[in-house]
Amino acid sequence: MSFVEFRFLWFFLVVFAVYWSLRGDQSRKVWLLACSYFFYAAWNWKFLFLLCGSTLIDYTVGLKLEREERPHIRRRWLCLSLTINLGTLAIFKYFNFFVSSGATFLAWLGLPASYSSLNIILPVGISFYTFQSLSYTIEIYRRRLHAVPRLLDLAFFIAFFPQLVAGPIVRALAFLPQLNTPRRFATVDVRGALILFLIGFVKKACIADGVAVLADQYFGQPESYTALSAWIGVLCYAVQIYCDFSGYTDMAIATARLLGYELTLNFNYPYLARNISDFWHRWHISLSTWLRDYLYISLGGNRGPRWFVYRNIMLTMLLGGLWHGAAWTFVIWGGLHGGALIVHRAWRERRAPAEENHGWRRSLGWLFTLYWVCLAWILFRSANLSQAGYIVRSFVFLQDNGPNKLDASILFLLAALFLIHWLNAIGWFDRWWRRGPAPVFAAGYGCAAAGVLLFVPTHYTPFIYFQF
Amino acid sequence: MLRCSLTNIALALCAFLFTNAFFRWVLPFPEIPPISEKLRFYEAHRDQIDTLFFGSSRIYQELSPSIFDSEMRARGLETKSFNFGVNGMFLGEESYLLEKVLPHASARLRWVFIELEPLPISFDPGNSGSQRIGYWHDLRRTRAVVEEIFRLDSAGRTRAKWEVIFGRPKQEQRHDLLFLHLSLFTKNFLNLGQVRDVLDWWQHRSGESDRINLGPAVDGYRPIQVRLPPDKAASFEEALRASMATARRKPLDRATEEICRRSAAEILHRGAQPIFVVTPLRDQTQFFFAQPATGLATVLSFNDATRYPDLYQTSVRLDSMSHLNEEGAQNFSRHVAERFAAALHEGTIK
Repeated sequence: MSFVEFRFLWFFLVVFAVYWSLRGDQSRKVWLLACSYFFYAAWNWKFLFLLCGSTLIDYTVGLKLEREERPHIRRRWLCLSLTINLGTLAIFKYFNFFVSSGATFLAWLGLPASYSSLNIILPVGISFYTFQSLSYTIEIYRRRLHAVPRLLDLAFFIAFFPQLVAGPIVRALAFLPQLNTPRRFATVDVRGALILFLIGFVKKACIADGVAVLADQYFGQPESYTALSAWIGVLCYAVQIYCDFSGYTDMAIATARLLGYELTLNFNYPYLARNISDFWHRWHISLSTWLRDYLYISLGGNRGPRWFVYRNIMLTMLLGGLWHGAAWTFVIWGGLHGGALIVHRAWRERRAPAEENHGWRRSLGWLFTLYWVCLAWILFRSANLSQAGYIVRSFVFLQDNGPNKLDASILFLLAALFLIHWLNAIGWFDRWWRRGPAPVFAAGYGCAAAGVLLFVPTHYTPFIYFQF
Repeated sequence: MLRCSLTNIALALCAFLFTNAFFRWVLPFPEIPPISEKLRFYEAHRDQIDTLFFGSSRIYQELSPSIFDSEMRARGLETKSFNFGVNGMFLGEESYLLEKVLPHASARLRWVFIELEPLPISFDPGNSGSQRIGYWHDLRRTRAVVEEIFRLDSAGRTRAKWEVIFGRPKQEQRHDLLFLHLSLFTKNFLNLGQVRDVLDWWQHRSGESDRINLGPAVDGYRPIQVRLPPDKAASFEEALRASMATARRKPLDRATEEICRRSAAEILHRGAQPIFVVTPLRDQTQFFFAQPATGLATVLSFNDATRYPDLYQTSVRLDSMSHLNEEGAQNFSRHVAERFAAALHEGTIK
């Protein structure tokens, strides 16, 4: 069940109506937890046990960490949580990758090894809820959070359905305090949530699924297209992945908001970033801050000699790449971003910050950042490294790989989308929908929703980040 | 507060429904390759055409307007016919298309032949996302299909269906079928993705388009020349013998009859005559209307191997066994003209 399906609409209407009609806060939480488990089970009920198991372990570890005073015992409890959570993730997501990579490496050394891969289904959302769950135990370990006394609260935090399968990766520190205060419908920004949901729906169903056709066409056979088509294909994919993921996030935030909960901001106009560091402050913010706080800082962060910091950046980005998927293309994608972050950091250390924000430098920085991000998307989207090589040759060196062409008129549409994106970033649209009395908004919303449906492609493309 | 919220929800819902209905009203007919070409051709030549054939591939590939017209001419009757048959177009879609065509018909239109078959309620799952399956799911036809699905009896035995065409939906498939048809109706009512249709319509608005689907004689008929392979001939004959042995007369189901009655009424309203045709199927069941009313009386059945042996020789059948090749189609077109002329002569058709 995903946010753009009709059945989700019916599901949510029932959840919403029953939720706000219940009196007690506890009963509301129980209802939402039951709905969240139902939501997850709609995909595959067997993996519900994994989710519950992870919750139980972290609940126990949380209580132990809270009560335990001896540092070495506390460290052991944390290690247990890390081992179980990351171990589960490693088995389900990375087992085949590491086994096959190991065998390839041995073969390269002249030691051919036979191996067998496991037919493992990746539980949807495992990368997201594992990180969420880990944030809980790590924060308790760092004494920045108290363990929740009720299992219900932790289960609710981990399984809350709007963010369960594709984030944003909600931090325990930000979410759990919300569970202590009763939710009131009167404080819900219904108008804002509805608009956000519609925007998310447009991003996903109208834009991402629309441009996905061209992106898939190009990435399906890049060796037969011209250099211009390579640019079109890559730009379409850049638009697709942003609209797909941020569209999902918008709908998740809006859904949660309608139920009275606030989720973390995950995107902040990343394609308007002026440099690569700025990009990572705007793209998948919940993951980048998670990696910064729990990995980068744990590795030493900015402390120590320059090369030590660069190593930390690179390691963080490589692991961030690997988080996205068990393939070398993702690792290299992370490496490209890590490299760019290092170069930018080195450059910034030699220049005054004011210089970077100066007129043409700012525009050039934006263009170069966008170019680099798009270049990295090639690795992210390519099926393998040889395919990526073809595309990079076309994209960077403008070499035609074949005679086929994609329809270049899409570039006008992309430019129009960019303009809308920019207008939205400067808050131009906010002025309109925030105005007016509620009945006018309601009628306008109904008309707008009907209009949006005209643009929904009849084919459905699953959310890209569901696979992570 | 609650009252205010409910009012706003109702307002939003009304605006949503009204806007959808408005879009549905203003949006052009979807651009569907074989159908749109035929519609355009008919609109351009409606002042010359007096006879239309509606149906599936068994009309599209088997009923030649030029042979029909020449046979009628030989019997002293001038006709100018056009084949509106489209592969895979069964009763629901057929009646929907008929309703779209009739308002554009000229006063010259006199006879409309409709392929008669029970209303299908299940489809090849591979087609479930196609535009062809969805666009005709308006309220009337969806209701008819849903009623039929509810009539699947509780013992798991299904209503009589021509197995050769659709297979038999099982009782346990009822929910899936209901979901399929209701979601198609919803998608259709919500005009999902129909901006694509507008763009397609804009591209084809000049009227001149690919005429491949109109056939070699540009009369909507497109024959197929393949013969039934010898290895399949024996199984065809065996299946035919079995079907002949169990042949019986059977009333059509209520939903089929209701749709046929409405189509007939529409045709009569336009001053033309409806004629229902059962093509030379391998299945020998002789269907009839349980409650014949005005316009439903004329059924020309050709699925009778005893009466029409030339339509059941293996040399005139196609690989699919339920279709005719070009030679069979020529025979069939002659038989239709012959039966039609006789009915006119007898006065059963005016």
